[in-house]
Amino acid sequence: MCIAIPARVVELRETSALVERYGERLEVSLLLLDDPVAPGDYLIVQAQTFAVRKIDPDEAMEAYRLFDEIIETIPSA
Amino acid sequence: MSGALGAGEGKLRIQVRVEKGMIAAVVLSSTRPVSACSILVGCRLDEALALLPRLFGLCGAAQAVAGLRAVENALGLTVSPPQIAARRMLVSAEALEQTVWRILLDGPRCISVKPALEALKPLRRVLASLRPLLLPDPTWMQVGGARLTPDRAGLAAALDEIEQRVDQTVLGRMPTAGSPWRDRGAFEAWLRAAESPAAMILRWASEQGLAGFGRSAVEPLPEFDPAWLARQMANDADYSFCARPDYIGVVGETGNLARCWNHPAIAALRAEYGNGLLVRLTARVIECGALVAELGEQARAVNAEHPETPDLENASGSGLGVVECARGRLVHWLAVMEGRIIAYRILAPTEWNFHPDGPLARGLAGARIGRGTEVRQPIGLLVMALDPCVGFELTIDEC
Repeated sequence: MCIAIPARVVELRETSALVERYGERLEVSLLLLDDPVAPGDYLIVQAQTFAVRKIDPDEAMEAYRLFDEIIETIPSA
Repeated sequence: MSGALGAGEGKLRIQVRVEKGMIAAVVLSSTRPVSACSILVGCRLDEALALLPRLFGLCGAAQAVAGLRAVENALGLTVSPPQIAARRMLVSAEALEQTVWRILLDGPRCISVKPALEALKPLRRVLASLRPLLLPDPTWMQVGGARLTPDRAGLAAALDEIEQRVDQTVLGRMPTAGSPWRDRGAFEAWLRAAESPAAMILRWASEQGLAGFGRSAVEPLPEFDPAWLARQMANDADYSFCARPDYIGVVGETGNLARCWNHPAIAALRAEYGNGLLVRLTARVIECGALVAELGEQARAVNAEHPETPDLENASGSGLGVVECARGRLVHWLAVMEGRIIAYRILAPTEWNFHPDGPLARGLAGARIGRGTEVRQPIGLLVMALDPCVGFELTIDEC
């Protein structure tokens, strides 16, 4: 199951962004996105490599609430 | 990866030991959270269906449709053919995007060639345009069907563009007229001459002597007996079946190759290379054309309609939803009592293909790697061909 945890943009680079989700930082390509991206935006990332969609902050917060719940249900968390 | 994220998203670990040019041992382990869907327990049906595409954002259409089918089967609802066609279009569009992604981005990266990113972007855009041309409401995941208002001229233009873009980007300029799948000569001519990423990857596998790499005796999953599957899912309170499934003792594979198993070009290649790397990669290319054809076929079956939403408040029962998606067969099962979910399970295609006794593990065990080949490349391509739905970490121990 490809669970999609949103990632928050920390820093913009030339064609990529440094993003963070649950304390993990990743550099992801922005080349597949049509919309402009700014620090603080939330992105859905595929394969820890490409941002595939920008989502609004409310949707991201709702997603984090769900993922917090999922993490709590997993014994190894 | 942090512990929290690792637990939330999960990861596949593939450990391989290579001795004297042969893969001597393979260990697959996974932290994929197969029980993540348990957070839907307690939700109302409409809430759960709205959550599915957000939780599983990369295959959201397939997950939503599998959930809808499970609910509708639990409630004994019949859905109209135009609704089924519209849903199949969304799932096929998502599958096509992911299939082309593997060919244009992941395949080239496996063999250290520049990914064809610029070709994927316009295709993604036109595929994303299909949903509003069919279903005007973003909350289309309605039990019994959603408001359907097909824009026929818009759909026809979008489908034409999709076909052209897939032909150009996946097959590339054709050395001879007609399909490369019509006979072996046409396939060989395409393989020798085409400059598309797909042809380059296939050619690389062929030239490196890796056409049969990763072959095994694992066969495609048969059609499931729905009563048997429903029993397995219902009894799987600890998610052990969903984590490590078998079909009456046998592990099969699902996905591109399984769906193209009897295609004449694949049957001919299988006779020579079994289910090896070249055959899998070719099946992926063929599947692109099949998905384009599927989109056209379903577009002809959609009609305007606005079905009434059934009463979900007092719904009780249990049901299965089975959908063929980008990575293979996806199964949802749920039980509902008085409108609230009391159990939810998801069996994802990755659990078959990356099963410790599945096609990757059995295909790698004992596989030979030719002299001069970077070990990581064919293994990476085989993993990419089997297409896990989570990130993977490949560790190679060479003795």
